[in-house]
Amino acid sequence: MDVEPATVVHAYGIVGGDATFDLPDVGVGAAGVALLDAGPVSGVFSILPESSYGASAWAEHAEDAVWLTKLATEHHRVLGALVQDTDVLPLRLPAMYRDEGHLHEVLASEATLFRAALESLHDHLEWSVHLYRVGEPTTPTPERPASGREYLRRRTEAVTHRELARVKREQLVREAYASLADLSRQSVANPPQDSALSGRPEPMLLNSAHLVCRKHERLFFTAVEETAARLAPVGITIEVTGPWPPYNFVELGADHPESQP
Amino acid sequence: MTTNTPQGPVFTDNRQPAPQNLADVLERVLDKGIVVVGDIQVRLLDIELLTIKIRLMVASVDRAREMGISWWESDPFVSGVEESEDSGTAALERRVRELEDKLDGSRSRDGR
Repeated sequence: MDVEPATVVHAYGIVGGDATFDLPDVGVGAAGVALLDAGPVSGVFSILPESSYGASAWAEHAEDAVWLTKLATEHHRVLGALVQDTDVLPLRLPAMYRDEGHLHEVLASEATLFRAALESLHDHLEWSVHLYRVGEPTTPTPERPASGREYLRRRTEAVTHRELARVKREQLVREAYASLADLSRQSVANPPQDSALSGRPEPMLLNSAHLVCRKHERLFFTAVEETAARLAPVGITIEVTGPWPPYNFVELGADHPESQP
Repeated sequence: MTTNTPQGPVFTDNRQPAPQNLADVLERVLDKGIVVVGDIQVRLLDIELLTIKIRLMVASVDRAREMGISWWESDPFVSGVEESEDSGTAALERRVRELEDKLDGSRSRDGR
């Protein structure tokens, strides 16, 4: 007879086996957070009730945004605390294992790869950059057209004006990305977030992530300030969030299962 | 949104105990980061579809507030598509259909 409730192991991320840092007190579902030694690397994990977080819970909630949002936030909170003290490879959800032995097995089987990834990302953090179009270039309100021909001419002009403005915006966005990428070890431009995701009505023009060395953060922020000054006159605003664990920069090579079709 | 003079850059420091940018969290935690084969291989919906669905299905704003989630409360949704005159809900529903079609297409290619 089972008297203990069934549990699963939820892993947050992978840190160096010799790293020194404080474990966060609280993880997913208010569970404690623990460290699993797998030699060159260690896994940060929580033990969670199978009924709430196991396979059947995932099957039930995989499209339940509220459930996922809560889990994602709690998962990230642990990683966000870790990354302040040490290098960490963040795991994508769902990161669920039968027990500690199972997690140990998968960590140990690719420990060399994880160790190399940690070393290559040493002292680098991710910063997120969003550009939003918040304003329109000002256009004078025209007087009532004197004729149909006049009306058509103005419409043509307006269309041309809009198109030129769009081309100029695109050019400035590309330049902004390039100037921030210059100060980053790696950069990636992801698809702009939909308004449903960003929660903002303004069109997002750029959604980029930048891998920046801790000691270059100041330079990066200065470049952000300069970029903001260049973009403001055309109605574009810039938002920066971070530091993030290097979510966007942890590709592990072609033989990794993720890259299989 | 009639202003033509945006403020300077907005910095959100994750080291402060301020609310995280939830869109950034979801995008990363569900779509980035490393995959270390575990017990559960959930093929998550396209994250965009998922989050649009959230907006459509959140019946109780209070529940969201209790959880500290407020990012869909921003004012009446306006389509992100430039010059669009769609109403927010219609645009969302159309987008969901497009994404679902796309998803069905990729599922059938997977042989499911």
